[in-house]
Amino acid sequence: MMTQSTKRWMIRLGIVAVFVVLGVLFFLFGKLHPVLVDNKTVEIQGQTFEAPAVLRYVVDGQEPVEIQARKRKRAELVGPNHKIVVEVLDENDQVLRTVEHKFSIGLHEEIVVNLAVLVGGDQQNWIQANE
Amino acid sequence: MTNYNKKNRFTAFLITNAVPILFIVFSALSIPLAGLSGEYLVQEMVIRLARYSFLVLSLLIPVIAGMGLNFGIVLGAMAGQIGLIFVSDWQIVGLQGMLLAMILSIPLALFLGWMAGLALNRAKGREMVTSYILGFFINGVYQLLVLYGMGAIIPISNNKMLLPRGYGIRNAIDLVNIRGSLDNLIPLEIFGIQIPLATFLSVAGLCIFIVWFRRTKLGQDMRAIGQDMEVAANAGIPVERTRILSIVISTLLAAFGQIIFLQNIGTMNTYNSHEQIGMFSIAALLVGGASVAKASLPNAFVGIILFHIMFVVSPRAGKTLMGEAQIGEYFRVFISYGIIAIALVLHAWRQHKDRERARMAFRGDAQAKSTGE
Repeated sequence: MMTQSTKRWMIRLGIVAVFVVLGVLFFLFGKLHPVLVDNKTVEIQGQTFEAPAVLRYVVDGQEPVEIQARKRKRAELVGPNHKIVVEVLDENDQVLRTVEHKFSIGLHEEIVVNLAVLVGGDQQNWIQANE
Repeated sequence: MTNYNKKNRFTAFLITNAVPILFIVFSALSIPLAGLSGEYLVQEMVIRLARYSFLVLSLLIPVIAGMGLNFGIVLGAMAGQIGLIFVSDWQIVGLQGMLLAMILSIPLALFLGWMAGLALNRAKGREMVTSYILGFFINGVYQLLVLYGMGAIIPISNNKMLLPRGYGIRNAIDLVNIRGSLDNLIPLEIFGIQIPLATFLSVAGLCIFIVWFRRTKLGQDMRAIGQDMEVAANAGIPVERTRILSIVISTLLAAFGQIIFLQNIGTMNTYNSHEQIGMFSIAALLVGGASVAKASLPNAFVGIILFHIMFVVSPRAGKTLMGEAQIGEYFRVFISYGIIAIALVLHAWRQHKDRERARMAFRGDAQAKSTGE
Protein backbone atom coordinates (compact mmCIF):
# COMPACT_ATOMS: atom_id res chain seq x y z
CA MET A 1 0.00 0.00 0.00
CA MET A 2 1.47 3.35 -1.08
CA THR A 3 1.54 5.99 1.67
CA GLN A 4 0.53 9.59 1.05
CA SER A 5 4.15 10.71 1.34
CA THR A 6 5.41 8.11 -1.16
CA LYS A 7 2.66 9.09 -3.57
CA ARG A 8 3.64 12.76 -3.26
CA TRP A 9 7.28 11.96 -3.95
CA MET A 10 6.33 9.83 -6.95
CA ILE A 11 4.35 12.75 -8.39
CA ARG A 12 7.27 15.09 -7.80
CA LEU A 13 9.71 12.70 -9.46
CA GLY A 14 7.27 12.31 -12.36
CA ILE A 15 7.15 16.09 -12.84
CA VAL A 16 10.96 16.32 -12.74
CA ALA A 17 11.18 13.47 -15.29
CA VAL A 18 8.74 15.26 -17.61
CA PHE A 19 10.83 18.44 -17.46
CA VAL A 20 14.06 16.49 -18.09
CA VAL A 21 12.50 14.78 -21.13
CA LEU A 22 11.17 18.12 -22.41
CA GLY A 23 14.60 19.69 -21.89
CA VAL A 24 16.29 16.92 -23.89
CA LEU A 25 13.73 17.27 -26.70
CA PHE A 26 14.13 21.05 -26.84
CA PHE A 27 17.91 20.58 -26.92
CA LEU A 28 17.76 18.06 -29.78
CA PHE A 29 15.17 19.87 -31.88
CA GLY A 30 16.42 23.40 -31.22
CA LYS A 31 20.15 22.82 -31.68
CA LEU A 32 21.74 24.91 -34.42
CA HIS A 33 24.24 22.95 -36.52
CA PRO A 34 26.69 24.74 -38.81
CA VAL A 35 26.95 22.78 -42.05
CA LEU A 36 29.80 23.20 -44.53
CA VAL A 37 28.56 22.41 -48.04
CA ASP A 38 31.29 21.37 -50.51
CA ASN A 39 31.25 20.78 -54.23
CA LYS A 40 34.73 19.29 -54.59
CA THR A 41 36.26 16.37 -56.46
CA VAL A 42 37.23 13.64 -54.02
CA GLU A 43 38.38 10.04 -54.09
CA ILE A 44 36.71 7.66 -51.66
CA GLN A 45 37.74 3.99 -51.47
CA GLY A 46 39.32 4.13 -54.93
CA GLN A 47 36.31 5.77 -56.56
CA THR A 48 36.61 9.33 -57.86
CA PHE A 49 33.63 11.67 -57.56
CA GLU A 50 33.98 14.56 -60.02
CA ALA A 51 32.55 17.90 -58.92
CA PRO A 52 29.85 19.10 -61.37
CA ALA A 53 30.42 22.64 -62.77
CA VAL A 54 27.33 24.07 -61.03
CA LEU A 55 24.91 22.65 -58.48
CA ARG A 56 21.82 24.16 -56.94
CA TYR A 57 20.66 22.89 -53.58
CA VAL A 58 17.70 23.51 -51.31
CA VAL A 59 17.75 22.41 -47.68
CA ASP A 60 14.43 22.05 -45.83
CA GLY A 61 12.64 24.26 -48.35
CA GLN A 62 14.88 27.27 -47.69
CA GLU A 63 16.18 29.64 -50.40
CA PRO A 64 17.95 27.78 -53.25
CA VAL A 65 21.74 28.21 -53.30
CA GLU A 66 24.05 27.73 -56.29
CA ILE A 67 27.54 26.37 -55.77
CA GLN A 68 30.36 26.17 -58.33
CA ALA A 69 32.91 23.36 -58.56
CA ARG A 70 35.75 23.51 -55.97
CA LYS A 71 33.74 25.89 -53.75
CA ARG A 72 32.46 25.68 -50.18
CA LYS A 73 29.33 27.31 -48.72
CA ARG A 74 28.09 27.52 -45.15
CA ALA A 75 24.59 26.79 -43.97
CA GLU A 76 22.93 26.60 -40.58
CA LEU A 77 20.39 23.91 -39.82
CA VAL A 78 18.19 23.51 -36.76
CA GLY A 79 17.37 20.09 -35.34
CA PRO A 80 18.51 16.59 -36.26
CA ASN A 81 16.52 15.61 -39.38
CA HIS A 82 16.69 17.36 -42.74
CA LYS A 83 15.97 17.01 -46.42
CA ILE A 84 18.23 18.21 -49.22
CA VAL A 85 17.33 18.56 -52.90
CA VAL A 86 20.33 18.92 -55.22
CA GLU A 87 20.00 19.85 -58.88
CA VAL A 88 22.85 19.38 -61.35
CA LEU A 89 22.80 22.32 -63.79
CA ASP A 90 24.25 22.75 -67.29
CA GLU A 91 25.81 25.95 -68.71
CA ASN A 92 22.33 27.38 -69.44
CA ASP A 93 21.11 26.76 -65.90
CA GLN A 94 18.91 23.92 -67.11
CA VAL A 95 18.38 21.09 -64.64
CA LEU A 96 20.10 17.91 -65.85
CA ARG A 97 19.39 15.75 -62.85
CA THR A 98 17.79 16.04 -59.40
CA VAL A 99 18.84 14.14 -56.29
CA GLU A 100 16.70 14.22 -53.17
CA HIS A 101 17.96 12.85 -49.89
CA LYS A 102 16.94 12.81 -46.23
CA PHE A 103 19.70 12.92 -43.66
CA SER A 104 20.25 13.15 -39.94
CA ILE A 105 22.87 15.25 -38.16
CA GLY A 106 22.34 13.58 -34.81
CA LEU A 107 24.32 15.13 -31.97
CA HIS A 108 27.29 16.24 -34.09
CA GLU A 109 28.29 19.84 -33.48
CA GLU A 110 29.30 20.62 -37.08
CA ILE A 111 29.15 18.58 -40.27
CA VAL A 112 30.63 18.70 -43.77
CA VAL A 113 28.63 17.52 -46.76
CA ASN A 114 30.06 16.98 -50.22
CA LEU A 115 27.37 17.34 -52.85
CA ALA A 116 29.67 15.90 -55.55
CA VAL A 117 29.66 12.62 -53.64
CA LEU A 118 25.88 12.72 -53.15
CA VAL A 119 25.09 13.33 -56.82
CA GLY A 120 27.76 10.73 -57.66
CA GLY A 121 25.54 8.14 -55.98
CA ASP A 122 27.34 7.50 -52.68
CA GLN A 123 24.75 8.05 -49.99
CA GLN A 124 27.02 6.80 -47.19
CA ASN A 125 30.15 8.95 -47.41
CA TRP A 126 28.77 12.29 -48.60
CA ILE A 127 28.22 13.47 -45.00
CA GLN A 128 30.99 13.62 -42.39
CA ALA A 129 31.16 15.01 -38.87
CA ASN A 130 33.63 17.90 -38.54
CA GLU A 131 34.80 17.36 -34.94
CA MET B 1 -24.45 64.99 6.89
CA THR B 2 -24.87 63.46 3.42
CA ASN B 3 -22.61 66.13 1.94
CA TYR B 4 -20.06 65.40 4.63
CA ASN B 5 -20.16 61.66 3.76
CA LYS B 6 -19.84 62.39 0.05
CA LYS B 7 -16.88 64.67 0.68
CA ASN B 8 -15.28 62.01 2.86
CA ARG B 9 -15.80 59.34 0.22
CA PHE B 10 -14.36 61.61 -2.45
CA THR B 11 -11.29 62.35 -0.29
CA ALA B 12 -10.84 58.63 0.37
CA PHE B 13 -11.07 57.93 -3.38
CA LEU B 14 -8.47 60.61 -4.10
CA ILE B 15 -6.12 59.24 -1.45
CA THR B 16 -6.54 55.63 -2.60
CA ASN B 17 -5.98 56.51 -6.26
CA ALA B 18 -3.57 59.40 -5.83
CA VAL B 19 -0.75 57.78 -7.81
CA PRO B 20 -2.72 56.70 -10.91
CA ILE B 21 -4.54 60.05 -10.98
CA LEU B 22 -1.21 61.86 -10.84
CA PHE B 23 0.07 59.76 -13.72
CA ILE B 24 -3.05 60.22 -15.83
CA VAL B 25 -2.76 63.99 -15.40
CA PHE B 26 0.95 63.87 -16.17
CA SER B 27 0.39 61.76 -19.28
CA ALA B 28 -2.45 63.98 -20.49
CA LEU B 29 -0.13 66.98 -20.25
CA SER B 30 2.95 65.28 -21.72
CA ILE B 31 1.46 63.49 -24.74
CA PRO B 32 0.64 66.68 -26.70
CA LEU B 33 4.02 68.16 -25.75
CA ALA B 34 5.88 65.07 -26.98
CA GLY B 35 4.19 65.30 -30.39
CA LEU B 36 4.31 61.53 -30.98
CA SER B 37 1.76 59.97 -33.32
CA GLY B 38 -1.07 57.94 -31.83
CA GLU B 39 -0.07 54.88 -33.85
CA TYR B 40 3.49 55.05 -32.52
CA LEU B 41 2.28 55.38 -28.93
CA VAL B 42 -0.17 52.48 -29.24
CA GLN B 43 2.53 50.27 -30.83
CA GLU B 44 4.97 51.13 -28.03
CA MET B 45 2.38 50.36 -25.36
CA VAL B 46 1.51 47.02 -26.96
CA ILE B 47 5.20 46.05 -27.10
CA ARG B 48 5.83 47.15 -23.54
CA LEU B 49 2.72 45.42 -22.22
CA ALA B 50 3.96 42.17 -23.79
CA ARG B 51 7.48 42.75 -22.48
CA TYR B 52 6.70 43.57 -18.84
CA SER B 53 3.36 41.95 -17.98
CA PHE B 54 4.77 38.59 -16.87
CA LEU B 55 7.31 40.27 -14.58
CA VAL B 56 4.79 42.62 -13.00
CA LEU B 57 2.24 39.82 -12.52
CA SER B 58 4.89 37.77 -10.70
CA LEU B 59 4.62 40.33 -7.87
CA LEU B 60 0.97 39.62 -7.09
CA ILE B 61 1.18 36.35 -5.14
CA PRO B 62 3.46 37.62 -2.31
CA VAL B 63 1.10 40.59 -1.89
CA ILE B 64 -1.79 38.14 -1.31
CA ALA B 65 0.33 36.45 1.37
CA GLY B 66 0.92 39.79 3.08
CA MET B 67 4.62 39.87 2.23
CA GLY B 68 4.43 43.19 0.42
CA LEU B 69 6.17 43.93 -2.85
CA ASN B 70 8.76 41.29 -3.59
CA PHE B 71 11.94 43.17 -4.51
CA GLY B 72 13.46 39.68 -4.61
CA ILE B 73 12.13 39.07 -8.13
CA VAL B 74 15.64 40.00 -9.25
CA LEU B 75 16.65 36.57 -7.90
CA GLY B 76 14.31 34.97 -10.40
CA ALA B 77 15.57 37.30 -13.10
CA MET B 78 19.14 36.10 -12.45
CA ALA B 79 17.99 32.47 -12.66
CA GLY B 80 16.37 33.23 -16.01
CA GLN B 81 19.53 34.89 -17.28
CA ILE B 82 21.69 31.91 -16.32
CA GLY B 83 19.32 29.73 -18.36
CA LEU B 84 19.73 32.10 -21.29
CA ILE B 85 23.55 32.05 -21.01
CA PHE B 86 23.57 28.24 -21.34
CA VAL B 87 21.09 28.26 -24.20
CA SER B 88 23.19 30.85 -26.06
CA ASP B 89 26.33 28.80 -25.47
CA TRP B 90 24.75 25.58 -26.71
CA GLN B 91 23.20 27.43 -29.66
CA ILE B 92 19.63 26.30 -29.10
CA VAL B 93 17.47 28.50 -31.27
CA GLY B 94 13.89 29.69 -31.53
CA LEU B 95 11.07 28.78 -29.21
CA GLN B 96 12.89 25.58 -28.21
CA GLY B 97 15.78 27.72 -26.95
CA MET B 98 13.47 29.96 -24.96
CA LEU B 99 11.61 27.02 -23.42
CA LEU B 100 14.88 25.23 -22.61
CA ALA B 101 16.13 28.39 -20.87
CA MET B 102 12.93 28.35 -18.81
CA ILE B 103 13.43 24.70 -17.87
CA LEU B 104 17.06 25.35 -16.92
CA SER B 105 16.04 28.29 -14.76
CA ILE B 106 13.44 26.29 -12.81
CA PRO B 107 15.75 24.52 -10.28
CA LEU B 108 17.75 27.67 -9.71
CA ALA B 109 14.66 29.84 -9.26
CA LEU B 110 13.11 27.29 -6.89
CA PHE B 111 16.29 27.17 -4.81
CA LEU B 112 16.71 30.96 -4.69
CA GLY B 113 13.01 31.42 -3.91
CA TRP B 114 13.16 28.88 -1.12
CA MET B 115 16.26 30.56 0.32
CA ALA B 116 14.63 34.00 0.09
CA GLY B 117 11.48 32.61 1.73
CA LEU B 118 13.51 31.25 4.64
CA ALA B 119 15.23 34.61 5.08
CA LEU B 120 11.96 36.54 4.88
CA ASN B 121 10.38 34.30 7.51
CA ARG B 122 13.08 35.49 9.87
CA ALA B 123 12.35 39.10 9.01
CA LYS B 124 8.57 39.21 9.39
CA GLY B 125 7.20 42.71 9.00
CA ARG B 126 10.31 43.84 7.15
CA GLU B 127 9.97 41.66 4.07
CA MET B 128 10.39 44.40 1.48
CA VAL B 129 13.66 45.84 2.70
CA THR B 130 14.98 42.32 3.37
CA SER B 131 14.12 41.13 -0.14
CA TYR B 132 15.68 44.29 -1.55
CA ILE B 133 18.96 43.63 0.24
CA LEU B 134 18.78 39.91 -0.63
CA GLY B 135 18.72 41.00 -4.26
CA PHE B 136 22.05 42.80 -3.77
CA PHE B 137 23.54 39.78 -1.98
CA ILE B 138 22.53 37.27 -4.66
CA ASN B 139 23.67 39.75 -7.32
CA GLY B 140 27.15 39.42 -5.81
CA VAL B 141 26.97 35.62 -5.98
CA TYR B 142 25.67 35.83 -9.57
CA GLN B 143 28.51 38.13 -10.61
CA LEU B 144 31.05 35.82 -8.99
CA LEU B 145 29.57 32.84 -10.85
CA VAL B 146 29.27 34.55 -14.22
CA LEU B 147 32.43 36.63 -14.08
CA TYR B 148 34.79 34.01 -12.63
CA GLY B 149 33.04 30.63 -12.66
CA MET B 150 31.85 30.47 -16.26
CA GLY B 151 34.59 29.38 -18.60
CA ALA B 152 36.82 28.41 -15.66
CA ILE B 153 34.74 25.91 -13.66
CA ILE B 154 31.54 25.78 -15.69
CA PRO B 155 32.43 24.89 -19.30
CA ILE B 156 31.47 27.44 -21.95
CA SER B 157 32.26 26.22 -25.45
CA ASN B 158 31.41 29.38 -27.40
CA ASN B 159 34.53 31.55 -27.18
CA LYS B 160 32.64 34.55 -28.57
CA MET B 161 30.71 34.71 -25.29
CA LEU B 162 33.84 34.70 -23.12
CA LEU B 163 35.99 37.63 -22.13
CA PRO B 164 39.38 37.82 -23.92
CA ARG B 165 41.13 36.40 -20.81
CA GLY B 166 39.35 33.05 -21.42
CA TYR B 167 36.84 32.99 -18.58
CA GLY B 168 33.90 35.12 -17.52
CA ILE B 169 30.98 36.10 -19.73
CA ARG B 170 31.13 39.27 -21.83
CA ASN B 171 29.08 42.34 -20.84
CA ALA B 172 26.50 41.84 -23.58
CA ILE B 173 25.12 38.66 -25.11
CA ASP B 174 23.39 38.85 -28.45
CA LEU B 175 20.22 36.78 -28.14
CA VAL B 176 19.79 36.72 -31.91
CA ASN B 177 18.93 33.01 -31.82
CA ILE B 178 15.85 33.48 -29.65
CA ARG B 179 14.98 37.11 -30.40
CA GLY B 180 11.23 37.44 -30.87
CA SER B 181 10.75 33.68 -30.74
CA LEU B 182 7.60 34.03 -28.67
CA ASP B 183 6.53 37.47 -29.92
CA ASN B 184 6.63 36.41 -33.57
CA LEU B 185 5.22 32.92 -33.04
CA ILE B 186 1.70 33.97 -34.09
CA PRO B 187 2.07 37.09 -36.21
CA LEU B 188 -0.91 39.45 -36.06
CA GLU B 189 -1.35 42.98 -37.35
CA ILE B 190 -4.39 45.12 -36.61
CA PHE B 191 -4.60 48.61 -38.19
CA GLY B 192 -0.85 48.61 -38.73
CA ILE B 193 -0.14 47.69 -35.09
CA GLN B 194 1.95 44.55 -34.60
CA ILE B 195 0.46 42.38 -31.83
CA PRO B 196 2.69 39.72 -30.22
CA LEU B 197 -0.27 37.37 -29.81
CA ALA B 198 1.62 34.36 -28.40
CA THR B 199 3.14 36.53 -25.65
CA PHE B 200 -0.29 37.92 -24.77
CA LEU B 201 -1.69 34.39 -24.71
CA SER B 202 0.97 33.33 -22.21
CA VAL B 203 0.21 36.44 -20.12
CA ALA B 204 -3.49 35.53 -20.29
CA GLY B 205 -2.55 32.03 -19.13
CA LEU B 206 -0.75 33.51 -16.14
CA CYS B 207 -3.76 35.71 -15.33
CA ILE B 208 -6.02 32.65 -15.38
CA PHE B 209 -3.51 30.83 -13.16
CA ILE B 210 -3.52 33.71 -10.64
CA VAL B 211 -7.33 33.88 -10.57
CA TRP B 212 -7.53 30.09 -10.15
CA PHE B 213 -4.73 30.07 -7.58
CA ARG B 214 -6.52 32.59 -5.35
CA ARG B 215 -9.45 30.18 -5.10
CA THR B 216 -7.39 27.13 -4.20
CA LYS B 217 -6.80 26.01 -0.62
CA LEU B 218 -3.25 27.37 -0.81
CA GLY B 219 -4.46 30.69 -2.20
CA GLN B 220 -7.06 31.01 0.56
CA ASP B 221 -4.39 30.15 3.14
CA MET B 222 -2.19 32.89 1.72
CA ARG B 223 -5.03 35.39 1.93
CA ALA B 224 -5.71 34.40 5.55
CA ILE B 225 -2.00 34.81 6.37
CA GLY B 226 -2.01 38.18 4.61
CA GLN B 227 -4.88 39.35 6.79
CA ASP B 228 -3.58 38.11 10.13
CA MET B 229 -0.67 35.77 10.59
CA GLU B 230 -1.52 34.84 14.19
CA VAL B 231 -5.16 34.04 13.47
CA ALA B 232 -4.06 31.97 10.46
CA ALA B 233 -1.56 30.04 12.58
CA ASN B 234 -4.23 29.41 15.25
CA ALA B 235 -6.51 28.10 12.50
CA GLY B 236 -3.87 25.47 11.68
CA ILE B 237 -2.42 27.04 8.53
CA PRO B 238 1.32 26.34 8.18
CA VAL B 239 2.24 30.04 8.02
CA GLU B 240 5.98 29.79 7.39
CA ARG B 241 5.67 27.09 4.72
CA THR B 242 2.91 29.00 2.92
CA ARG B 243 4.94 32.22 2.97
CA ILE B 244 7.94 30.38 1.52
CA LEU B 245 5.72 28.93 -1.23
CA SER B 246 4.45 32.39 -2.18
CA ILE B 247 8.02 33.64 -2.62
CA VAL B 248 9.06 30.49 -4.52
CA ILE B 249 6.14 30.91 -6.97
CA SER B 250 6.93 34.61 -7.40
CA THR B 251 10.64 33.93 -8.03
CA LEU B 252 9.85 31.20 -10.57
CA LEU B 253 7.40 33.43 -12.44
CA ALA B 254 9.99 36.22 -12.41
CA ALA B 255 12.55 33.87 -14.01
CA PHE B 256 10.08 33.12 -16.83
CA GLY B 257 9.19 36.81 -17.01
CA GLN B 258 12.82 37.82 -17.42
CA ILE B 259 13.27 35.31 -20.27
CA ILE B 260 10.16 36.67 -22.02
CA PHE B 261 11.44 40.21 -21.42
CA LEU B 262 14.87 39.44 -22.88
CA GLN B 263 13.56 37.53 -25.92
CA ASN B 264 11.64 40.71 -26.71
CA ILE B 265 14.67 42.99 -26.21
CA GLY B 266 17.05 40.66 -28.08
CA THR B 267 20.19 41.54 -26.15
CA MET B 268 21.17 40.56 -22.65
CA ASN B 269 23.23 42.91 -20.56
CA THR B 270 24.86 40.16 -18.49
CA TYR B 271 25.62 42.21 -15.41
CA ASN B 272 22.81 44.80 -15.47
CA SER B 273 19.68 43.45 -17.17
CA HIS B 274 18.26 42.06 -13.91
CA GLU B 275 19.19 44.96 -11.64
CA GLN B 276 16.44 47.44 -12.52
CA ILE B 277 13.74 44.83 -13.06
CA GLY B 278 12.53 44.75 -9.45
CA MET B 279 12.38 48.51 -9.16
CA PHE B 280 10.64 49.13 -12.50
CA SER B 281 8.12 46.30 -12.08
CA ILE B 282 7.19 47.45 -8.59
CA ALA B 283 6.95 51.06 -9.71
CA ALA B 284 4.64 50.01 -12.57
CA LEU B 285 2.40 48.03 -10.21
CA LEU B 286 2.19 50.95 -7.77
CA VAL B 287 1.43 53.40 -10.56
CA GLY B 288 -1.52 51.16 -11.43
CA GLY B 289 -3.04 51.87 -8.02
CA ALA B 290 -1.74 48.87 -6.11
CA SER B 291 -0.49 49.21 -2.58
CA VAL B 292 1.86 47.18 -0.41
CA ALA B 293 -1.14 45.26 0.94
CA LYS B 294 -3.41 45.04 -2.10
CA ALA B 295 -2.66 44.40 -5.76
CA SER B 296 -4.84 43.07 -8.55
CA LEU B 297 -4.56 42.15 -12.23
CA PRO B 298 -6.02 45.49 -13.46
CA ASN B 299 -3.47 47.33 -11.26
CA ALA B 300 -0.69 45.52 -13.14
CA PHE B 301 -1.94 46.33 -16.65
CA VAL B 302 -3.02 49.92 -15.93
CA GLY B 303 0.31 50.47 -14.18
CA ILE B 304 2.39 49.17 -17.08
CA ILE B 305 0.54 51.38 -19.56
CA LEU B 306 0.72 54.54 -17.43
CA PHE B 307 4.31 54.01 -16.33
CA HIS B 308 5.51 53.32 -19.85
CA ILE B 309 3.56 56.16 -21.42
CA MET B 310 5.70 58.33 -19.16
CA PHE B 311 8.80 56.41 -20.26
CA VAL B 312 8.06 57.02 -23.91
CA VAL B 313 6.81 60.59 -23.81
CA SER B 314 8.90 62.21 -21.09
CA PRO B 315 12.22 62.49 -23.04
CA ARG B 316 10.38 64.12 -25.96
CA ALA B 317 8.31 66.32 -23.64
CA GLY B 318 11.51 67.29 -21.82
CA LYS B 319 13.10 68.22 -25.13
CA THR B 320 10.12 70.36 -26.13
CA LEU B 321 9.94 72.10 -22.76
CA MET B 322 13.61 72.49 -21.87
CA GLY B 323 15.33 71.86 -25.20
CA GLU B 324 17.05 68.77 -23.80
CA ALA B 325 15.93 65.14 -23.83
CA GLN B 326 18.16 64.40 -20.83
CA ILE B 327 15.79 66.37 -18.59
CA GLY B 328 12.95 64.04 -19.50
CA GLU B 329 15.23 61.03 -19.05
CA TYR B 330 16.20 62.27 -15.60
CA PHE B 331 12.57 62.99 -14.82
CA ARG B 332 11.39 59.46 -15.54
CA VAL B 333 14.04 57.85 -13.32
CA PHE B 334 13.29 60.37 -10.59
CA ILE B 335 9.56 59.64 -10.92
CA SER B 336 9.94 55.85 -10.72
CA TYR B 337 11.87 56.03 -7.45
CA GLY B 338 9.61 58.82 -6.19
CA ILE B 339 6.48 56.77 -6.85
CA ILE B 340 7.80 53.89 -4.76
CA ALA B 341 8.61 56.30 -1.94
CA ILE B 342 5.14 57.91 -2.13
CA ALA B 343 3.45 54.49 -2.14
CA LEU B 344 5.42 53.33 0.89
CA VAL B 345 4.71 56.56 2.80
CA LEU B 346 1.01 56.36 1.89
CA HIS B 347 0.93 52.75 3.10
CA ALA B 348 2.56 53.65 6.43
CA TRP B 349 0.21 56.64 6.80
CA ARG B 350 -2.86 54.50 6.03
CA GLN B 351 -1.75 51.87 8.54
CA HIS B 352 -1.28 54.59 11.16
CA LYS B 353 -4.73 56.01 10.40
CA ASP B 354 -6.34 52.53 10.57
CA ARG B 355 -4.72 51.89 13.95
CA GLU B 356 -5.88 55.28 15.19
CA ARG B 357 -9.43 54.60 13.98
CA ALA B 358 -9.43 51.18 15.66
CA ARG B 359 -8.19 52.75 18.90
CA MET B 360 -10.90 55.42 18.75
CA ALA B 361 -13.56 52.78 18.09
CA PHE B 362 -12.29 50.73 21.03
CA ARG B 363 -12.36 53.79 23.31
CA GLY B 364 -15.87 54.57 22.13
CA ASP B 365 -17.01 51.06 22.99
CA ALA B 366 -15.31 51.16 26.38
CA GLN B 367 -16.90 54.53 27.22
CA ALA B 368 -20.29 53.27 26.18
CA LYS B 369 -19.92 50.22 28.43
CA SER B 370 -18.73 52.27 31.41
CA THR B 371 -21.73 54.62 31.13
CA GLY B 372 -24.00 51.57 30.95
CA GLU B 373 -25.44 52.37 27.52
